[in-house]
Amino acid sequence: MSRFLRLLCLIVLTLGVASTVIADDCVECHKKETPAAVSQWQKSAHAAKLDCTSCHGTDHEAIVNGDAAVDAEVCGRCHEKAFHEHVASKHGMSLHTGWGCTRNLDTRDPRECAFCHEEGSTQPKTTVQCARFLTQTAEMRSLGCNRCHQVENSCASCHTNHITDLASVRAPESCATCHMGPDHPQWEMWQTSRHGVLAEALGEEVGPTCQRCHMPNGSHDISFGITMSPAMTQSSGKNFELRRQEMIGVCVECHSKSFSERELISADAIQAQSKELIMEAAAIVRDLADRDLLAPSLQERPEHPLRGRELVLDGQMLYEDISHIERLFFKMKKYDLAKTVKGAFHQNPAYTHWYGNAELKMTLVDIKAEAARLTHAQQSPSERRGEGGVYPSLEEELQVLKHKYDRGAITAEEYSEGKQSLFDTLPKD
Amino acid sequence: MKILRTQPHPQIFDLSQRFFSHICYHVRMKRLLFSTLIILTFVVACATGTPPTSISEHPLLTLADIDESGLFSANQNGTKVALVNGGLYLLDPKSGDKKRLSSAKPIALAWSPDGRSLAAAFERADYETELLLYSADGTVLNEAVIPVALSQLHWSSRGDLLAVGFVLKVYSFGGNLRQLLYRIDDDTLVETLLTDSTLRPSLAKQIKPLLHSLLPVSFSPQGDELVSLRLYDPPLFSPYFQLLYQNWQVDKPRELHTAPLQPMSFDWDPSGNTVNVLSEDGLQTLDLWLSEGKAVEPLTTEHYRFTNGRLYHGLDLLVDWGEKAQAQILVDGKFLLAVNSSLYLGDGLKSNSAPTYNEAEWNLRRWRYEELVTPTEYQKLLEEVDQ
Repeated sequence: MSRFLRLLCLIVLTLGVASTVIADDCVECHKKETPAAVSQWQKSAHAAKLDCTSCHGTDHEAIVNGDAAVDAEVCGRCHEKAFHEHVASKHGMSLHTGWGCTRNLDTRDPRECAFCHEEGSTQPKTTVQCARFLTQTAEMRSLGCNRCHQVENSCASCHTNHITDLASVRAPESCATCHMGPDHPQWEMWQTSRHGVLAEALGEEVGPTCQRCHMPNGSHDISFGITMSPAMTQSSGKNFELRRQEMIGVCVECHSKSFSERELISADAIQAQSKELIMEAAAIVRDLADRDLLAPSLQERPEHPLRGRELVLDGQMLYEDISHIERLFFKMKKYDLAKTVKGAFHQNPAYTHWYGNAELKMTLVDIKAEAARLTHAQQSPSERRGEGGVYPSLEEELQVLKHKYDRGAITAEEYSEGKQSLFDTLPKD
Repeated sequence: MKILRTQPHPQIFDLSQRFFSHICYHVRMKRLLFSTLIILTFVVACATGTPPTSISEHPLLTLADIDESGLFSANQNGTKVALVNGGLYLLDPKSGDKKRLSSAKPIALAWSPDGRSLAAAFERADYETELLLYSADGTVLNEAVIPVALSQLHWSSRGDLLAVGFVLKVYSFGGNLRQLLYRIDDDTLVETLLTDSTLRPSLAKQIKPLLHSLLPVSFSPQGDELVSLRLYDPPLFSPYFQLLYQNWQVDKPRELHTAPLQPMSFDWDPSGNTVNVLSEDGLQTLDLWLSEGKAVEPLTTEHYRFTNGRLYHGLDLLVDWGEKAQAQILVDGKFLLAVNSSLYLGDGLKSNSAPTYNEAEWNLRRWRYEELVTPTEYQKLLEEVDQ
């Protein structure tokens, strides 16, 4: 027994010495190789308690090969509360797919689960199953997609690698790297709102920043106070109430509760009204697809990487290899809707109206005009095939009915009745 | 699809066909196959002096000499005949006058249903076939080149000229076999891919001479639908066939069932709803649309059909002229028979009705294939529009 204990102590001591030696070696060498990184670490709060190997491990080859990334779980060993808040938030939960999988689970299409999970598994897939990601080149995937969406499992996305000074992540500019641009310009709409202008002119005590409303008291739950999914589907039930009360709790630091509630309800209404416009546009596009009038048609274009020949208008919609009218719909849903709704919640009148609502309505005008052009100016499929007479047109009507039935837009009874009314028009000898 | 009836069929395949089937399983017996074919060819050639058997009191009338291939085609009532005898000839059966259209030998012939046009296919190169369209008096109306080894020409009842052929590309690592359908529409060729098979090297290198007989394509009486075979050659299993059914106006074929590699032939019933499949397993009658508990339609017994050198009346074998015989049944009880390098005119059959184009039936059949109407709705609508 005593021999065994002596041997165990020897092993522990040996490993401890080896670790120290390796850590010292890191600093010595990296002072020459990456002096700024070493300097940042030395000035950080980590330097007093952690050496390089604490986070990076001791396998230098794995580190060099990128196989020993310091992901959120590594940070979570010490920053347990922040880690749990993060993984439960939109930042941490399957955001790389753009779905936020557990949000509004009851109302989601069950097929969406397959984007992130293997059959029967609750663990997210390691590979990204986002159609827009899949159609990109490796370079675009790395810089254009993952540079932001890596936030799911990387604290360094916001905190950077070695700096622990929280000033960098408490500045609203920290969010701007990703939360800007045509699809969700939260940075721009905050910056030009009264909140942003006040923050710039008079400081954060007067003008609330991103962090003050969405990450109050240093919370890493960036879903705080947000009552919609990334696809702008409104939360429901208790979750809605919980998140709404969270946000009102922030608003009342400066505003009255009634004012806060009224403004948020107004934004809810704008969200619902905007979604109505999207649904109207989607119905037009689906109807054209039913009638095989999209150009190029679903058969003529490359298959959707996840859904094949299906018309995809949801979050997996592509902006390439589609028809012009779908491209208009993509803009409407991805850009115009986001600007309207997020503009409303960020209290930015110009984004809500001119960049958002006006564009939504004008794009809907474009969609209707394009639908009319496709319907009337363009030949029907049978006319394109040079077929005239009653049978080709009846066949097209039957196909439209079948498409509607296949996608569940009409019941079996309605399908049967619709067919019978078409059969009644058949010429009898 | 449902099998209506299965029964063993006596002597469907003679010795040479059995060898044909066998070789597909055992490619090392290839030499034996060719030796056997040569012997059989010699035996048939020696038998040319024997007059063919008539089927009734009507004697067979000799019309003309014809190449050993027996390639000919007549319009529906037999007033115009094109035949191959060293070249392509137009024959007037009444007067016996012959007019040479080409010194080259075509590999396929087909008269249009209205008798106004004759389509002839000439092999120009490996996987290059020239199609010539002649008027009834032999004037060339149109020509086209299709990039396949042609298997057959066919006119639909609507007047569509259809050509079926294949392309086999052999590489060191395997082969690619594609069967293609072309619709010749004035100056345009509309191509439809029927089958696409990947073959292992051993099969790819040896199958080419057998393809014409191994991959038959049979058109419905209306000419709008076809049955064909897709050859599968999976890495770990024996090659096999997938029986396919397709309306050629619609891209997607329907898979009926699989069968071992063997010679097969198909014969549609006059309604175009069922197909007889002849194979080593016997005769199978496939109803392509029977469903929803509908009663089984009995196979017509009044229909004449000519298959593998044999003339049948319904299921009854009337006469066996030998595997090499070619025949065409005309609409007035007459028939043309090519055997032993002669073309004969026969008589005495009860008249087969000629398939005529019915716009309603043609469209309803396509709707049924596309599942826009159910088989029950199809029958009901067909009866209504025909009333």
